[in-house]
Amino acid sequence: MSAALTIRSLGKRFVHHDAARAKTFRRFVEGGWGKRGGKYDFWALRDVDFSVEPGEMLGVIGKNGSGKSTLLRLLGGVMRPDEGSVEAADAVHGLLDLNAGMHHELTGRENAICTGVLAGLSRREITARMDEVIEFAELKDFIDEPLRSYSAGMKLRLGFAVAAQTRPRILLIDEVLAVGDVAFQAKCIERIHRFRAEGCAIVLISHDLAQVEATCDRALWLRNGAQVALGAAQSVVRQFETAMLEATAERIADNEEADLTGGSQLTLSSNRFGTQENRITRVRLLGSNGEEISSIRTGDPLTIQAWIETVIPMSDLHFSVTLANAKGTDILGVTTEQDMVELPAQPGTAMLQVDLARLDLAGGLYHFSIGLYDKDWAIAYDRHVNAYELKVEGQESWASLNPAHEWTVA
Amino acid sequence: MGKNLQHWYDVISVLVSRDHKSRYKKTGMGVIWAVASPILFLLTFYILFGLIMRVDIPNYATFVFTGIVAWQWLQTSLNEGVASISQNASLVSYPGFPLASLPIVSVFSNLINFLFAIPVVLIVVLVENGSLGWPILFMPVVMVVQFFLILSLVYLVSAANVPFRDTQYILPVLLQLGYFMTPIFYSLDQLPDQFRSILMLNPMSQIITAYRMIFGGMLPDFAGLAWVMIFSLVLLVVTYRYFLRAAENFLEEI
Repeated sequence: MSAALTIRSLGKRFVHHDAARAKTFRRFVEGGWGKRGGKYDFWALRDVDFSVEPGEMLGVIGKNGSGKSTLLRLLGGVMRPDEGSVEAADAVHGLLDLNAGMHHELTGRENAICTGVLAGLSRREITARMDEVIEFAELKDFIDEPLRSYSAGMKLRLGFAVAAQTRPRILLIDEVLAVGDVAFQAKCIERIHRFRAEGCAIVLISHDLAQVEATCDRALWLRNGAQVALGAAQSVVRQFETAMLEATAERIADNEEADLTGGSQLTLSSNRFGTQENRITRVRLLGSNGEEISSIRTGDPLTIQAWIETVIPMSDLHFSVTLANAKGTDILGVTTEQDMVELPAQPGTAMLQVDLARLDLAGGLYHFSIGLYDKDWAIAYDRHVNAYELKVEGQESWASLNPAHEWTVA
Repeated sequence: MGKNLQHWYDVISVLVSRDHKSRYKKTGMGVIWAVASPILFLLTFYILFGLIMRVDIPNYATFVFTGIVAWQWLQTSLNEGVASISQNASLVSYPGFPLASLPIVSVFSNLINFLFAIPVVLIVVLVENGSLGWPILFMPVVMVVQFFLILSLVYLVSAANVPFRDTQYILPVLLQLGYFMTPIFYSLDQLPDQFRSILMLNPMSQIITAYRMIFGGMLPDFAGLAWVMIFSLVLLVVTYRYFLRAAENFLEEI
């Protein structure tokens, strides 16, 4: 039997313009018409080769940003490859966005017809199968209510129930199984297995390694857009898991060497947190002569240097430095956002340096925390919490500040 | 091919019906707005130009109403169509979805409003004119010409709006300009000759004039219409090809 889906040395390149260029018209005008901001391109996917036979299920695994979604879009034909080719023996269907094309003011029934037609059924076919849709979705009492009264789970049930009426020969699935209640999930998985039994070729993208292992015949592992392994699902999942564990161990080992400052050690989940996708690789505290120090005197200047290593454009990151006293209270906090520091628009490495003109701190023990976050401060990529000790020599106080002061009695 | 065409037909029909059904949901008057809104426009213009400023055009209500209704089809299609790609990211990333159907959906959705308004136009014609002549049978011909003119423009603006969101802000300004450059509430006869010939180059002037002739019981200028049709089809080929080229990058730019 010939393959349902054949992928040959597939590659997709994205061109990123300087963030400033795209974002606001004002900056565009300020920058001038002819002047282009920094531009770089990177391969989101390259040299990917595989095929999927009818009745076969291929799982695609890899970390966020490894090119899984790009692959799915290329397979779906909604994005053009820059290299290589995708050959599909039949129409490609997707279980990607189950609510695509739905309108919240229309009833469940009206939306089901619309979604059914988008999924490739004729208007007549979906109308004829409406009873099955309602039964599958378990929405008998709500089918003529407007969609806006539906919960997210009900909408997905409706979407899947419509998709279940199709007879795809090639199907792309993106994590949809991770939603809805457990009973319905089981029903969806059963339906997908029936598609496969009927000879449908399936490509599943999932973070759920156990699911890939249990349901897929083969698996493809992507890392930074490159095909790392392709083979029996169980074996690829094992390789992936092993590599993940090793990578974590390696990184921590690296850091223990590089990050030794003031005698403290970085240990993941103890004083180091975050996803580690973008990392702070080294931190130094410098005195006024540029020498590495771990203690200062009240009123001395201090420079903090941090090296970062990123996989996303650095301009999409925020960096913060916080100083806490011995009681754990933050007494100083500076961020690249507050100070509107422009970071390079490419991924890579950079050294960030912040010079504190003078630290009028009372004598005692303080700790710096350093953090690397996303633009919305929602994701912590790397946080070194109270990891860098600073000893201040000088007059001690129950409070933290001790600026130069004089008393006068009159 | 037959299956493909059937799919296009189904997609366009469900999306048009989705647009139509959702358009007047949550309004008190519902679909009556499709008729009421042009009538209110008509009344404003009729009172302003017919009664207060006393424009010297016979059967002014028919005259102005025809202009408004025909222009509205173009204007609402473009205003909706401009965002038809940029606001439908979920369809742009939907495997197998015929993206080029979305501009067609915009034109058809607004054709429905046009069709709702036609009976009202005909009533106004009967009241003012007393009768409808047989040339009314040629009305679908003019509508086909106008359909292709609008469609060719929607392909252009919907595709341009994906990389250049500025399009959706410039468009209303251009439409306003077009509104004044088209004899909607004034007549070309009121203009000096040199302006008249320039404004007659505006395809909408030809189309609106053709509707007026038909409602007045006369045959339209078929030669003029044929030129507009040729112009629209040539434009359609150009803008449709631009659309298809731009479509390759929609997902990256949306």
